[in-house]
Order: sequence, then C-alpha cells, then structure tokens
Amino acid sequence: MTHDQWIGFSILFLSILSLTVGNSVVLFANRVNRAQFIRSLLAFTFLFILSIFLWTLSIQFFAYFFFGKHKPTIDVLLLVAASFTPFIFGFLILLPHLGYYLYALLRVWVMVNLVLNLMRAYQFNIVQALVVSLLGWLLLEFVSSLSFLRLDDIKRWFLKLTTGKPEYKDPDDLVFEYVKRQRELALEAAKARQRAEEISHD
Amino acid sequence: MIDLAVNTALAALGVLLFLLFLMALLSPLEALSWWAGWSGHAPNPSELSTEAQEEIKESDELPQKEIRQPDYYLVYLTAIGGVSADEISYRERVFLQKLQAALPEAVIISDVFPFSVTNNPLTGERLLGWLWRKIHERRKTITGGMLALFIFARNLFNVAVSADPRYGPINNAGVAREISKSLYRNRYPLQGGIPIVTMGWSGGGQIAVGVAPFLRLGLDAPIYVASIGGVLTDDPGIAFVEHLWHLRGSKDKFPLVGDLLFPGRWRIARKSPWNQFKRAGKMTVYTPGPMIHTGKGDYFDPKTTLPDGTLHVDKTVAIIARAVRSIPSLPELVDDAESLAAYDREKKLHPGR
Repeated sequence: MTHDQWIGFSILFLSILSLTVGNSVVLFANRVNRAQFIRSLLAFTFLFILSIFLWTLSIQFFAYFFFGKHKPTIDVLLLVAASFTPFIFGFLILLPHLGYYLYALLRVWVMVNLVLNLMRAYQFNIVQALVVSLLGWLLLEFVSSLSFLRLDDIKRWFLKLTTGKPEYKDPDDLVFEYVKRQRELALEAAKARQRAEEISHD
Repeated sequence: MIDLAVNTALAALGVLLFLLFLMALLSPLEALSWWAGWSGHAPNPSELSTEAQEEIKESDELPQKEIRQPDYYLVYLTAIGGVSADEISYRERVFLQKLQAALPEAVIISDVFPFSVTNNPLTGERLLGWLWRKIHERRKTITGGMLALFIFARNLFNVAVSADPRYGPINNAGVAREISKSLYRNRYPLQGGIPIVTMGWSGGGQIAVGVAPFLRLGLDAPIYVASIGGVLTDDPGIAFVEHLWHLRGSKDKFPLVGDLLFPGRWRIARKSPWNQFKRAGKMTVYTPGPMIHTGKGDYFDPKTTLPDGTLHVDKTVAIIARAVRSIPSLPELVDDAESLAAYDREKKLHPGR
C-alpha cells in the first residue's frame, strides 16, 4: 500500500471514529463502562468501514455492469473513502439540538461528495453517478435484509466478542423500563410491609 | 493602537466563542455519565431511593387518621440564571411565599435544581464548582455580571439537552427522580394520585414539561404544568400532561424562541404531540399584562404594578392559584398507553434524533 493510500485510509478511520463518537449516546444509555465504551467505539467503527467496503464493491459492480467501466478496487475504495471525510466533524453531532441538523447536513455532504468523485473518476454524468451510487446502496440494504444470511446474528456475535454486549437497546426503552421498575419496586415494598403488619396483628 | 485594541477584542471574542462551543459540546455528558454510572451516582434499577423507602416506612407507622393529605403538590423549577435551588432570588422567594399563602391546601416544593440530574448545584461538589462559586459571588459586580453569562449559557445548554430527543429521556428521568425524592420527603403518598403541578420559569418551563412522563409513570400521578414565561420546546413529554397553563407577559419575547426553533411547535406539524395537545384544548395561555421576562417588571416583581394597580407578583400568584384550583378532584387521567404511543410516534418521525 502506498503512502497516499495509508493517509486516505487513516482519514477514513478517523472520520468514522468521529462519527461514532457523535452517535455514542446509545453506548451511555446501555451503561457500558469506560473500557467497553472504547471497545464499542472501535467495533462500530470497524463495522461501518466494512459496510463502506461492501458499498465500494457494489459501486464497482454496477459501474461495470451498466456502463462497462472498470477501476481497481483499491482506487474505488479510496474515492469512496475520500467522500466520507466530512464525517471528520461527526463528533459535533453531540451538540444538543443542533447536532441533529448537523448530522443531516453531513450526510448530504457525503452523498454529494460521492457523486462528484464518481463523476470525476469514471467520467460519468450526474445521472450515471447517482444511479451507480444509489443502486450500490440499495443492493447493500437488500443484502443486509436477507434473513437467511443471518447477518444480525453475525453482528451480535461480533459485538459480544469485542465489547461484551451483544445488542444495544433504544435509550427511551431503557429509561421507561427503569422508571416502571422503580414504580413496581415501590408498590411491592409497600405491599410487603402491609402484609407483614397484617400478620403481626393476627 | 486602534489595531491592537481591535485585535485584542477579536481574540477575546474568539476565546469566548470557543469556550461557549466547548460548553455546548460537553453539556450532554453530565446526564450521560450519570446514567452510565461513570460519575458514581448511577441510578440502580433494582433498588428504591432512600426517600421512597422512608416514605413506605413512615406511611405504615403513622395511624391513617393522622395523615392529612394536601390537595396538590407544586414543584417550582427556577430559570437559567440559577446556580442552586437553595439560592433563588428574593423575588422568587416572595412569589413562593405568596403562592403558599394563596394555596394553603398545597405543598410547594422548591428544593430541586432543574439543571442537574443529581440535584447538584453549580456551586456544589463538582469539578468546576470552585469556578461557579467565584462567578456567583461576583455576579453583582460589572466583571462578575459579564462572567455570569457562563451561568446562563451552561444552564441554557442544559435546557437544550433536556429538549433533545436523544438526551432528553435520560436527563429528564434524572431530574424527575430528584423531584420524586423531594416529593417523598414531603410525604407524597406512595399510591400516588395527588395532582402534581410543575411550575417552570423561563428554561425551567421546558424541564417542567420534560419530566412529566417520568413523574406520571413513576408516581402514578396526574401532572399539570404552569409555565411562567416558559421557553417551551416540542418535547413529546407533553403527551403525559393533563393541562398546561402558559403565562406570557405582553413584553416578554423569550417564549418566542421555543415557537420558532422547534419544528414540532409549528402549525405545519399537525400531528406533533404539541399540536395534538393544543387541539385537545389542554393548553391555556394567559397574558397577565405588560410583564418582561426577567428583571424589573418581570412576573415576580414585588414592587412594579400593572395599570390596574395590582403588583406583578400578585397577578402571577392569582393566575396560578386560580388555575391550580380548577384541577378537578378526580381528574380524568391521560391514557398512559396512548401517551407512550404518541411519544414513540414522535421518535419514529425523527429516527436520527
């Protein structure tokens, strides 16, 4: 791998890590400890980069299949990686209220980047670049929804192996579960005392 | 010379903006690290709070006839200028005293600092507690007054955390837990049922709405909200509120911030929990007169009078007392399942949030 390629992949790694930090609320909500937090960030970053790699392969496939244009995988991967550099600001998603809008903006920026990079690298017009990138993304979504591939199980196994937690629950569900459990505990304790009092009276 | 002054001023402005940006970025961490157990005060799902245990013990020990239950519990949540629930302004104290006199059948609670998940005052035991204490001590001087901007900013960011659907549930559950503890300390019955009115001034208005789901489900109580110039966001927690009374002075422009910045409050979002709440006739807006948001002439001013000669504070007290007394003795409670569905629906509409 050349020096430029190393730099490209390093930037991709940092960008996705930054994005994962920005979306780390789910880790806090699931009460990971500090070590698990770091491991989870790295695990999610790895999974995201893996999905970028698969998207690269699908882009390469559709560019050849529809328009007969071929480029080496490493070159396509680098241009896709370059498209994701706006996510270097991903940690800013942590900002309350503004973060949500910023996330939307970054995603649009990444998509525009990808289309422009495909147009430049493959000499595509805008429609061709859109077709290739969107079909690539759709193929990825389709494959990941095929239950017989058991990708969810593989993901759970991987997360369990790397972070100790096979799945991460929705923060809202966890908070409501906690509040309801507290209510149940209070009522159970009250009933227990009442029963104890009745027995002592008898 | 002028260049130097301009450059220094620009550099100072840059530093100020950077510090504010850093405060905003780190603002969710207090609630998140508390929930995750990183700060040592983590909530334990399998254990009751000491206050709840005490309440269970005391309610069993007291003969039933000795327990005279109040008709309402009112919880006062201060504005973003506050550093602690114990150090509210003289005007707020006058307001609370007058409100208690007007509502002797109610218990009024004001010992919860709404901008901390552990009811830890800014001047309390925290990493930068010494800095907040220094700023607070000097806020009546000119330089201290400028530094007090950081107190406003810190608490304002906390309001944004409470209103953010990603952090809001955790933050608001923490504040609701502290409110519950205070309610139990004040003999709130374990079986629930007695109406709770959360009163929030300015940014406290958002917290008053944000905690509603967790008080409703955690205490089995009907929840009402009195917003005093409250900056209300589009928090879906409104689905758990029985009724909202919103006081807005004709010279107070701050509540407009909530109307403009939060899409769920816009008319176009017809299905948002807020607009459904309003359509159900559960929101009453009062214009108590030409009151401003804060300072001389605000809602709690015990010296300024309205054109009809009523003191501002007396008008505010009269409106809230009347509103509280309008609560039916057997309120028709919101349906928890429906409210949860409305809450979830809002989340699904904004999956990224």
